[in-house]
Amino acid sequence: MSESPLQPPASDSDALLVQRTLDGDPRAFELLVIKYQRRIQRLIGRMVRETDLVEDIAQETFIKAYRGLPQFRGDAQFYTWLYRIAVNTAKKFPLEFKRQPSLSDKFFGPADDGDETFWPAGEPSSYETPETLLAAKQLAQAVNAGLQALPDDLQQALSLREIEGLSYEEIAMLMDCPLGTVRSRIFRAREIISTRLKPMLNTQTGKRW
Amino acid sequence: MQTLPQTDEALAELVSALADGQLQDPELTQALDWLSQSEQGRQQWQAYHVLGDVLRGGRALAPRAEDAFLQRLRDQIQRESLPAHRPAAANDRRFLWRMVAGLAGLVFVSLAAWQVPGWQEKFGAGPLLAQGVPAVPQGGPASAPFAAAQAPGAEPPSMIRDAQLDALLAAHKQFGGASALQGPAGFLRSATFEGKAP
Amino acid sequence: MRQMLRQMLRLFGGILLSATVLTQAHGGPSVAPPPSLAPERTLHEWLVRMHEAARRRTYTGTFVVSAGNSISSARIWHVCDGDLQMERVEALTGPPRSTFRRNDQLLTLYPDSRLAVAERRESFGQFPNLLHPGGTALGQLYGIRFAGSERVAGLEADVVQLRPNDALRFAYQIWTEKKTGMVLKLQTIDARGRVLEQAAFSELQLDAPVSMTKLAQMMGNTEGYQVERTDLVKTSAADQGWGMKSAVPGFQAVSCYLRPTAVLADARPESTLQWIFSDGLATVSLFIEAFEPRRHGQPMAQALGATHTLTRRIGDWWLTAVGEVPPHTLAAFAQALQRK
Repeated sequence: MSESPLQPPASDSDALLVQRTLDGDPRAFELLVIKYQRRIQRLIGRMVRETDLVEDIAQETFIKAYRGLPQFRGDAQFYTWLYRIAVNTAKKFPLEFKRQPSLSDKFFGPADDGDETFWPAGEPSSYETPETLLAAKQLAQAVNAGLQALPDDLQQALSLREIEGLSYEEIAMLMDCPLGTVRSRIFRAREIISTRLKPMLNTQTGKRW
Repeated sequence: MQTLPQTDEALAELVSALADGQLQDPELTQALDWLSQSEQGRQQWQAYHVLGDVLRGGRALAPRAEDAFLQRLRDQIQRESLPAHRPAAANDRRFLWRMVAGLAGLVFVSLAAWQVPGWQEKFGAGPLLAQGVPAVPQGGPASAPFAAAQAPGAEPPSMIRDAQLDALLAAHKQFGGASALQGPAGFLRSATFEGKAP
Repeated sequence: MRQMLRQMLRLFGGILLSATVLTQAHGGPSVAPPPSLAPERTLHEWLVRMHEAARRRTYTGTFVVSAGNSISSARIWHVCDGDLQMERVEALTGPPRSTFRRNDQLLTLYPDSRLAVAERRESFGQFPNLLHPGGTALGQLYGIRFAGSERVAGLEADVVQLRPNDALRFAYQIWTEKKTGMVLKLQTIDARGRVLEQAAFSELQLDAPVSMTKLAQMMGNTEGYQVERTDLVKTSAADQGWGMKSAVPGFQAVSCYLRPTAVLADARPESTLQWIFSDGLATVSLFIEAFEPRRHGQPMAQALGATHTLTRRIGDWWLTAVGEVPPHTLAAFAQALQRK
């Protein structure tokens, strides 16, 4: 694999997927949905209480994004744009459905949805039903067990990428190895864990894609 | 000349790198092409992202919920035409007003959507239409006159707000005064209405 | 008179009831309605107050209308001096245009094409008439419910919900400034609870110094512009040969005009009839013109924010129904429309 020390900046695959959608491939949009649906639902779940509304708002968010794709200017990050749509969609749902004190604008801050929680600590979220909670828990357990079971170098590469959010270049520096090695370590780590996941993810009726 | 990977495993590695935004052409295009055609590729894409989200401390969604979500979205999207291309001639004088689909929130609403079961309960025995509502075609070109006025090469938009409809919309808003909601809100709704600039 | 008193008592009771329900539903500390929206205030009173507030004040502000993903905004200057009102609206999005209003007279300037369009607007005087005993009282069509307080454009506002009692109209959520009753934000909401359209001040200065004379000067200055007057002829539907088989519940016919049809250059000039209905909050216009195969295509229903349109052929005529109502309401109008 190439190991050039000075890589040109990686192209934004999100923007490319947007472009492909506009060029006539709706499946490109689905890749974006798969990528962000969990994050978006989690974000909305922090703003709105009712379980059934969260999914509706998330649907509405992606539909609005789909319709608004021609206006998405490639200079901004796609997820930031999507985030704003989600926040605005959730905000616009009438007050009567939100049984909490009215949210002032300061809660709807910029793109980092990492740590913000809107509910006082200890509030149970009604976001998921017991059934989905169990299935989700099992999925999470499989992922964490898989991570623990990885050889050290794979575990480190994957953690640095997924949890610390470092770029391949930064990981290569930290682990003192070539870029190509970073790329293949992360790939192999993912493959091992997703082998456990795939049977769980394919648990539904034959209707796929 | 660099040979591109052909094996499934090599392609899978491309997908992994793509998920991290680390691909350049020609690998980039190859990975995107493969994802577009291959179900296996998309399952991988999904697995990698579920994995990443869980590792980042989020709860996973139940697997059925994930697929159901996507399927429901796909059903909705299939009912709509693709968002149109960005207009080629943005400064074309004939486009002084917004006509291109996807802009201006103009949505082609099927009357059937309003008959979703359940909403009737909300209003009890309200005076609903007893007869059937007139059939409404879903999608398709609108009135002919201004179809020719589009910039050459542009895809026909899913709906057209032609100059005549614009004039009627403006005329309607001019008389929004027959409403208790007139006042700056009502008047300004019409004054900010972006109809055709003559 | 007795009927009106009875209606007011009903409303009074209704508002008290919903205020009580609200405090119980919260579970936490009870939310008492603030003094500005005490239970004695009936729907009618509240609407009149809201209506008058904007006329009487002088203000400047920036106004934003959003529907779906589209946003339009404008800057507004409003002056009131006794019975005279003047307004200037400067578009911040879309084609450049300025609108000047002097009571019912409107002048819109389009700098790009140096065109000035002068027209007369349906007057505010209509509003109180809508509640006369002939029609359905607004309180029977909509329920009013207090929904808390919020700040909009830096001002404290009461939030009120108007919920329709049937499915022929939309719901509204209205933010009115606590002291003056001026509408700061207005949302039109459909049966599924989606906000179809929102119109709001993003910033507002009440009692700002705006000069009436300066505005009047701007309005008078059409130098270099070609002034067009839209010719509207007031008429009646009956005179034009139209009627309704049955009334669409809650909607009253308000007025009827003939206006020149916007036609293609080579066609002969024609008139379109505009028949206007209202339930007091929502307005529907029925535009009727002669059917022209070249111009008129398939029947269609479309939506732009809260405004829905429906077109169809009725015999030798072409109907375009437009209104801030659900599409099936427009369909009801189309069904009921009758050529005499």
